[in-house]
Amino acid sequence: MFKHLKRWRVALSLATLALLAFAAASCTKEAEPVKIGILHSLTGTMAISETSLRDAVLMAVDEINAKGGVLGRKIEPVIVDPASNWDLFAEKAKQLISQDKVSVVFGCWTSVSRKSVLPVFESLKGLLFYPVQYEGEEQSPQIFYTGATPNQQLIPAAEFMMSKEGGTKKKFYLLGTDYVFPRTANKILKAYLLSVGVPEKDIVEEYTPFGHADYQTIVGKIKEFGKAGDAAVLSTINGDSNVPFYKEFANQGLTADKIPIMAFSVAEDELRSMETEHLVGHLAAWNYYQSIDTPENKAFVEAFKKYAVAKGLPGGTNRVTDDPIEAAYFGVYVWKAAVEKANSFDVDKVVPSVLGLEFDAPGGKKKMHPENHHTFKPVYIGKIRADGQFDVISKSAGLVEPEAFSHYLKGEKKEEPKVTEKKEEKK
Amino acid sequence: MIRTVAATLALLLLAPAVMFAQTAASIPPELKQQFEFIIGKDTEARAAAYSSLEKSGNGALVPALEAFRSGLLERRTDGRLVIYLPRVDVNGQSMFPVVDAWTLEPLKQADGSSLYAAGLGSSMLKSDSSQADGLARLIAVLSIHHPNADKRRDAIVEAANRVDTALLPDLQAQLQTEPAGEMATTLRESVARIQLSSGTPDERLAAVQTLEKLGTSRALADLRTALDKARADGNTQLAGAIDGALSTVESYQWKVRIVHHTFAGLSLGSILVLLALGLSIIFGLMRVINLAHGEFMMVGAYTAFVVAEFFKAYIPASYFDYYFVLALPLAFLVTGLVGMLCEFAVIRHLYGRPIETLLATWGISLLLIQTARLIFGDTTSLTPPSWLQGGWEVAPDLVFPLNRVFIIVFCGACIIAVYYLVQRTHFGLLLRATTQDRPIAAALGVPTRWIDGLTFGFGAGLAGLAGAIVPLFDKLNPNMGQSYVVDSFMVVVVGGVGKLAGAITAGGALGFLTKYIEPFLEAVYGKLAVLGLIILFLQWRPSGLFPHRGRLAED
Repeated sequence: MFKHLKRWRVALSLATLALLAFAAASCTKEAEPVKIGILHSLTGTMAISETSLRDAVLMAVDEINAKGGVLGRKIEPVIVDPASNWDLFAEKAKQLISQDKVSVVFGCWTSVSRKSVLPVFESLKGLLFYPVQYEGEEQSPQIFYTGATPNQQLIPAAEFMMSKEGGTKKKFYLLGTDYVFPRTANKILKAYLLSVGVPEKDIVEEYTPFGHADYQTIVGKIKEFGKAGDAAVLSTINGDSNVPFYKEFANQGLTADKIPIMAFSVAEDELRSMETEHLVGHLAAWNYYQSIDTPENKAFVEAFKKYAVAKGLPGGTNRVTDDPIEAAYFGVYVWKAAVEKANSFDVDKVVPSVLGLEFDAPGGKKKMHPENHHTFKPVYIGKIRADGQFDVISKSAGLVEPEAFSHYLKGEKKEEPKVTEKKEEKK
Repeated sequence: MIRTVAATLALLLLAPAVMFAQTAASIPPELKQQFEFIIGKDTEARAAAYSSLEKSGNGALVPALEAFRSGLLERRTDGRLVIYLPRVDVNGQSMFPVVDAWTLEPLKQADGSSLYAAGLGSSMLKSDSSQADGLARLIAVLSIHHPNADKRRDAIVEAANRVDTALLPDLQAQLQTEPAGEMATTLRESVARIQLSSGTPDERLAAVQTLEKLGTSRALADLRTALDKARADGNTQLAGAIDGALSTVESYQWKVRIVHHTFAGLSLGSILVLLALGLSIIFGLMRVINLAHGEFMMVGAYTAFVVAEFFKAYIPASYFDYYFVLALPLAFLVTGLVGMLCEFAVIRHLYGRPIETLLATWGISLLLIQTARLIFGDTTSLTPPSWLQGGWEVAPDLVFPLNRVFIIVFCGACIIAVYYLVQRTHFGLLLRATTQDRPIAAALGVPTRWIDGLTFGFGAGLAGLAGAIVPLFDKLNPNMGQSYVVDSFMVVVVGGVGKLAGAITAGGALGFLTKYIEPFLEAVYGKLAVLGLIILFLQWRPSGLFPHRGRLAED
């Protein structure tokens, strides 16, 4: 009898197992996950910046999956590593679109990597969300740009320096690393400054090679240039070189009170690895800061730190959020909203439904442009604090309309970009 | 505990105000009363308070006024006014130190520790925009009496930038009581600059003479404007005087620029020499082209970094500055050991095969870079000891950053030590013998294998020393060596391979050349120009500045 019972039990459990397996199989068939691609360098020189963007995208994916996915399908991220190698970017993009058949790709940081994948996305009709502020002069039908255009970062920063709050600066030293973003950014800045009546002799443009470490001569020049206290540095110095630059600046006796440095490539994530002591009081222009004081943003910052700890990412609770991280993160949600609006994962149907989309980002409400594939964003001028965070000292009256092609470069007068009506200032 | 000590130290550093508070903090009660009107709502009383505070000339009021302007002033429940200083790190949290608005002494909690505030509450007092101009003016006026010397100087210069004739009598009075020292120079300059733009013809003439004597760049700009004006007014006497003064000041400024570039060249050159010395000795002795030299430098840099982190974690913050004294010899030893290990494990087996050593050392360099990246992650930076921060104003308009001064002195000492070691000691003798003729030296009983190992370690150690001082001005990351190794190879090739004197001369020459060319061309083209010149030079003298002569040249 005992034996009999045992056999019966085995049969029962087998039957249950079979049933479960069938149920599970039918479930997965019902909602096969949708693949998305992540194209950020995880090794090489750009890894320091791009790894954080991968983390931000993955966090958004986890959140969306935990709430049931998109159109009832879970998201399955396909992560590739283009290793800071521009040719590899194009290759990996091709692989993501034609082999992995991803619905969308989130990726790229440098302009050269974006330029290298652009033809791939256009010929294979892929879809890319690009999360970093850049020099503009581009508008691909297959790309959405969630970072700032020059008129959302460069021009407001220069305007601020000339305002009373910014110290009514009259002379500008445009200093950058020698590659496409600083060159184009400075061209736009120079055209703008000339158009508002800054004489040519009061604008200096200078570049240093990548990884330049000896800023003695340049700081000496800046010092002489700004001796009357009416000059500012507009810096597009990239990455590592910022450390020796700010050190030399302080050691030659210059301070933010005398000659402020307005930086366009220094955000919280970069400050994490620098001694901030020499940087305190200098400025930056971005569309988002970790220090933005809203419940939504606080929750986002907390969630990002928790995510880093939970996944055992280097840095742990010391991880910070910044402008590109926010843009990478909300990019996923923009795509999700557009897919749901289109009720389809087809790129052809998703693209039109992204246009004009309004959405909530950690830093506040934002909007996609109805035509030019860029994003309406607020502009904030921040002052660097000793703890590597920023105090927001000036902000735009609302969202600023993105301008893909700077009218200062086209040499034509266009009315100033409109600022949307509503003032959404949450305190 | 240590964090708290560090925070306190940071507080002291961030608020130099605290240090001078004792000497000049006497703010009479009636001024405190006037200050209450300024932060109060009564607009009439406020206007009166502005003028009476302006007349008081009490610079100790400035911190409170500035705090009020930027919303960092608070009234405690006991009525006391306090200022929130810039945030500091307290036990991993970013907090505002809270100090008394008048004495600037830190507020104490019940247990005697300093008080910190986590954030700005709603009780902060902040000026509104209607007060912006009034406050700015009041702060500008009082700042010329600021108890902090640096701030006072800045304010005095600012007054002259604005041509603030209203402050002229005050500045002249200060010059009467304080006729010598740095502050007097600044005062004299500002008085002259204001008089030059606004004074009577006689005053202007006197101002021109004062500015001519001072020779500062600020004077230069003002003199140029005044010259145009004097010419337009037809005042030939003044124009002539200004013309003379201008040429004096210009020649002084020209000298300043030359000295500045020379100094910059010296500091760049000395680093290059220190790196190239090790490279040159190793190549001269073993014919090993050491592509891992830059990475040895990186090892030295991270050694210094580890020592600094160790001090931060285990040694009281007041001793932090001494870490550097320990970091220098340790960087030499650790890197030297790593170098000897590489020699023993890899290079020893490849002697006489230069191409293989080239590849092997390149492999070592990749290994070292990845190891460093795994352990330390990406870019970080080293906190220089406080006595190596800031600058030394040698003459008006001429500042020597202290870290650069140290680098020049330190590299100079190292170069002399190396020269002595190679030319005057027993080890040096064996080294030179092995370099010149290895088989004969070995036949005479020189332990050439040992000499090789020690020399390789010594060369690496020199790179490690360079690595410990480079982060004084540069970043610290696993790739840092790569940008230096190319330059140091350039020095070795230009100087003549294996020659100490060659490395020293060429390193110095390259430093000066780069720094003299850079001001005229941009940094990007400056580098190109230097490379071009080196190529031309090597066409003319293929074996460098100091080629081997005689039988040795046949190698």
